Amino acid sequence: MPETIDIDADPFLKLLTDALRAGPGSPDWHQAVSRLRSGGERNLDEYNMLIAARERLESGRGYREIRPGPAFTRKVMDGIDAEPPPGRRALPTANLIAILGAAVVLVVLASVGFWLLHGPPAANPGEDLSNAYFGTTVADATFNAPLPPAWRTLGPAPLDPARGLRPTTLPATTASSADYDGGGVVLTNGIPADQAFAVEASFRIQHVTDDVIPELFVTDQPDFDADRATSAHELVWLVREGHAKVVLPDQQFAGSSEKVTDGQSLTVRAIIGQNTAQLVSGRHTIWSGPSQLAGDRPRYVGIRVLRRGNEKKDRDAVIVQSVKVMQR
Amino acid sequence: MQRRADKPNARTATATASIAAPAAKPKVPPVVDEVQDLAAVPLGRASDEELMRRTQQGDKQAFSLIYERYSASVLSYLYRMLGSVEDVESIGQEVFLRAFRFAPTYRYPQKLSTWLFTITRNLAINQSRRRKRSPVRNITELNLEGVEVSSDPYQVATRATDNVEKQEEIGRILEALEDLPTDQKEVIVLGVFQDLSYAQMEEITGTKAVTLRSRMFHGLKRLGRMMGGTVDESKGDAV
Repeated sequence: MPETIDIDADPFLKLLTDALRAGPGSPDWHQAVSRLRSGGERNLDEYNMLIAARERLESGRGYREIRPGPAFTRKVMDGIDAEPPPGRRALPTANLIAILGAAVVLVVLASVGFWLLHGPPAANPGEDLSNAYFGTTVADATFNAPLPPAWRTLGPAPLDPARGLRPTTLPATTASSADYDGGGVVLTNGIPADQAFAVEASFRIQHVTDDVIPELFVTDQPDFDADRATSAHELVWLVREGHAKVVLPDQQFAGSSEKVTDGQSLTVRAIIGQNTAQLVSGRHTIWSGPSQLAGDRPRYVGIRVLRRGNEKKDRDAVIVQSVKVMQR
Repeated sequence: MQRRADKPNARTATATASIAAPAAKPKVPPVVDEVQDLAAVPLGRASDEELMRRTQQGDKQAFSLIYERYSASVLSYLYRMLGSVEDVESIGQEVFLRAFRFAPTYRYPQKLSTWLFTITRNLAINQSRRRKRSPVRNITELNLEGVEVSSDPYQVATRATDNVEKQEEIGRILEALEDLPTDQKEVIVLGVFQDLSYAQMEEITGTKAVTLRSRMFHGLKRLGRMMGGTVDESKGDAV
């Protein structure tokens, strides 16, 4: 007897299975039994056995046939009466899920369409810049030799670039003790705004004082003030009141601050994108966000030291050890 | 041969509607609600589908007629598949409550019996899984009729024939039915005992008709073998 049957390929098997379902008395049954009696089919014994088994089943159709009793019916009808009319209920869960799923798909498609039409969304500063790798040094200075030609000096306060960048003389005698004088170095050539870069500077804070303020800056307006060597529109990292801070081009402090102590060495890393920037002081990102720098003007990187008063002890309060500008 | 005899012919219905209104020749064929014409038929003689349409509109009386028509069939199916009276009671009630609750999901021209047995089968499967996890049951009350007689294969056989030898055979084959693999037993219960077509079973179980036919074939073959494979030539064609 075959263990597998190909019903689609054998019309008689189709007729036979119809007869087995419909049972004795049905037209299919009559036709199938007639075919078997004519003896033209293979596996005759097997098919006759099936017919016999089905006949016995027919005799036992009352097997496990039950009907609801009055108590059962009453329970069901009480349950139905307690139900609100079916037409007024909320959508079935499956429909709700389908509708929600369709809505999610539509939102995703709309977002993708918008993205394709309008370009990628604005860069997330933290994501975009912190994952960037800047492996090409475009300018650096270690301040143990004459200043490299890529840099030029700024401001009235003279600095010695050969023993670590530090003030060499007392502030100008014309300034009052409350005013700052500035001196520093700045990149001669600007970096195009559409080229992201990183600048890394190392500072040695020998003695924390507001009379000597170290600054790392990036400006898009390289017209520096004659006294302080500051520009009108710059992003600045500085140490003031014992904390490293960030000042945006709109003159507002931003982000968190990091406490600085006497004798501390600090490495500051500024990552500048076209519209965003990130400032890392020591091991902490103290600020990231829109840089406010013009997206279409070159950026100039520099180090500056502001000084006031004429305390001799402040001369070596801050030493700039190195600065390095890198691009991708 | 698959049976879809009850499926109405939508094209014919549309044509009939056009003949009934010859003066107006609409450019767009009128939408014909094929069960709407039955609205005037007394409730008791309305088709299953018409009763369901009324149920969808909140007619609880129409649903009570559906219950009358199908309760024995649904409960017997559950009893044959689950074999436990207390399961039949709880699941049976749930079947009809769900059928009423989810009546709006029924869509004409699906046969009501197919829709109802889909609900019944799903609940039965869930119950079987639950029982495997917690087999301890308590019988609290028996609200079903015919349980005592119908549950014993040999009592059923006694009622079927006076021939003692045949009674023994029928009793044995019904008993053997319990030992069939569930998928084969299900096809026999749905097709033979519940009289559902392969097309309906296909819709209810989500299994292809050709597979269901194969299960019917092998299920009955197994039952035949359990009976010793004897062929009763004297019985012949019952037509």
